[in-house]
Amino acid sequence: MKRLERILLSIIRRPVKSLILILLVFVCANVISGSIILYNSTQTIKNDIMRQILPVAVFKTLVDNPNDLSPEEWFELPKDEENRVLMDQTIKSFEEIKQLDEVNYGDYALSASFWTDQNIRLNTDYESSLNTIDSAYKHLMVYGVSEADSYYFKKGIIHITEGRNFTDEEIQSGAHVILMPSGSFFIDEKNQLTAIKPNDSIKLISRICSDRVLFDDYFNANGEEIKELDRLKVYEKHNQAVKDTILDENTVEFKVIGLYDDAHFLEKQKRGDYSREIGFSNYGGLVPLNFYLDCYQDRVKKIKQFDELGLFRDDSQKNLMRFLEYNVFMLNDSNDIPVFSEMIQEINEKYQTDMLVKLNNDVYLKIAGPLEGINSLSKFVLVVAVFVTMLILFSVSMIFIKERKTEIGILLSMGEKKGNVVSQILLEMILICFLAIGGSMLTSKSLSQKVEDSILDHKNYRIELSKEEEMMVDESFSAVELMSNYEELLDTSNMFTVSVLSLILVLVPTCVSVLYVLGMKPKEILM
Amino acid sequence: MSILEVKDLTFSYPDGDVKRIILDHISESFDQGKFYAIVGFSGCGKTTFLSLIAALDKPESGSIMYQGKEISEIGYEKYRRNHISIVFQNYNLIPYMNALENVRVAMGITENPLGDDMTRLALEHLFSVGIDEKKAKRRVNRLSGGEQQRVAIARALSTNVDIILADEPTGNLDRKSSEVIVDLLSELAHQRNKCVIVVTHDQNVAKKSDKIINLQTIGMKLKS
Repeated sequence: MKRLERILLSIIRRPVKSLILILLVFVCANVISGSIILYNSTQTIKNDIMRQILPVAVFKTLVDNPNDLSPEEWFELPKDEENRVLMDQTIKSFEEIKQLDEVNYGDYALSASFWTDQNIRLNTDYESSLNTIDSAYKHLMVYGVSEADSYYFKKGIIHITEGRNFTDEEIQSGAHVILMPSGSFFIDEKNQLTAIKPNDSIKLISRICSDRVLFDDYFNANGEEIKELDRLKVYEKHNQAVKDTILDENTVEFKVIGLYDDAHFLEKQKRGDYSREIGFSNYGGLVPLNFYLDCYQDRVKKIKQFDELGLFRDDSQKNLMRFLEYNVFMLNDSNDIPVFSEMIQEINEKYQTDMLVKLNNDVYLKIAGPLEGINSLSKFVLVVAVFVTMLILFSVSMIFIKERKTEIGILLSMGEKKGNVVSQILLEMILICFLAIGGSMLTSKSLSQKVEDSILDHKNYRIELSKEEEMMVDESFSAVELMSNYEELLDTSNMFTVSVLSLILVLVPTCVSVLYVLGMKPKEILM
Repeated sequence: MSILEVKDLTFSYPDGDVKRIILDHISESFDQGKFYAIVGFSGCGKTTFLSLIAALDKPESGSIMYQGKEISEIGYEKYRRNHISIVFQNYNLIPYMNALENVRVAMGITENPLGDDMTRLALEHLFSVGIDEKKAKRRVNRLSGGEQQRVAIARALSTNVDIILADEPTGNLDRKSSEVIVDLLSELAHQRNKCVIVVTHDQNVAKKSDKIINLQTIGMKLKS
């Protein structure tokens, strides 16, 4: 009788024991390969996320633009003089941070609304924008940017569609040049639109008024919203009323050097979604920060003088508050983060700015958090499963070998080589493992999928990143894509490698238990 | 020349602080075509003697020679594989196999030339001990004790060895079955020219042997 026949007989003629073994290996192989698949997939996605998270630091300051504040939080903000001092200190901190060896690039921008000499409208398709400050007639939201290649250009979120970008000299000198969003228009009294183009002029007016002039109601006597042309009249009436309260007016003519587009916004706009999640919180003109700061210093001085003369009839007109629109500092390397954090603490203490630094680690945890959970769980399950599998299989193999002691003794008494007996038992185990692991190849994928499904509701998996957090990830980052990659990985993970690994894990305890055969003496068993 | 020769065979077991000598300088020779019965009281070393000449254990001193060659030189496994077969008191058949498969397992292990059609040969050996084809294909645990011992003898015969060793082959059998087995063993020696060495308590077995070796007369010694 050939050894293979002996092996087959041993498996077939002892069906209960063989089935127990097959079932045991099947379950263990499922758990092991399932956790390997989960671990591998999550690890790959985690690495992907790491690659997409930039070595970037973003600061949360006390002078950030308070976009989503509740009224209570608004009242807690540092006001007027306190805001001015903090802004001053924050800008000094930023300039010092930009000079650090670890920093490759730094940019920040301030925002404010200026008066204009003409009606300007930013988005023709956006009817309700009339109610918002960004396209209010004779008002323009302006952002002072500190870098020629400002962050949103660098990241590719916005880009020049016509004309050119700032030069470094223009930024340094605070030149009177402006970038406007493409699709901006001048509007005349008859509501006729003229597209704003490079080389056009826009006059920005910094006004200090003594009193607040309220707008007339946008609704007519019947409670209906008034027509656009009527709104122009409302604005005109308001502007006329404002003129009577002007204490000081500084008009600066700006040359439009280029037009820019926000790719994301335009894409969303096509779908009728006008919310701006990425980029500037409000569309507006971009000017060099130094012009903006000079203008601000002048305004602070004048307001102080007028206040001393008691010219303000409404205190709100003394408002000095300015806000940071964004700040971002790209580091040379993620490894620089610890040193960078220490330096930041020193700068924070020096300028008493009380800024909170948000580093890419925080973003990583937010994005990869749920996956990290699966990853840790699968790692834990894998370690436990490997240990338990080895222990169970070692015990079961020992029990089965001891139970076959007489058979082994008979074979040895007939002169069979111990190596042949050992290899017979091992081959039996391998055959059983092949059957069990073959089965587990079919089921472990679904098992890991089910485990993943129960932990992570990937269909509703949404990663909401704040504006600061958006700055820390690569432009190509997409949570939806991330999850579809993950799904794909679960499907295409190398099942063969996983199965071979399971086979090895199953065979190791069997091999150890089979060593017991080498110490067997047929005389002690049979006589 | 004797087929198997034992010279000054000594064997002892440790028993606490003392060494219990079981076999003390035993010498004996065994010829082909003869039926030997080894007798003696319980514990006198009959089974130990058999295990030594079956190469299941190693002697403390002395030599065991097969056809004038030390069995250690032949190699214990090879000696068991090609020159001897053992019949045990409790048959020692592989329980999940049938009689035919049990015989074929042994034929698969030996390196002795046996012929091409192993199944036919195995069946012939089984027929020669009174196991028909129907019983040959029955699981061994469904055979009676006597039938199982016959299968064990057929298995011993199948490997075409010169020496057949049996340890109390009738110990678990009734009188009638015992007689059949003893006749079979005797027949192996006298008609098939095998050297049959049987360890037994059974006087009837001893009576049918050509030579009785009484280990009792050699006795047992205690050595501190």
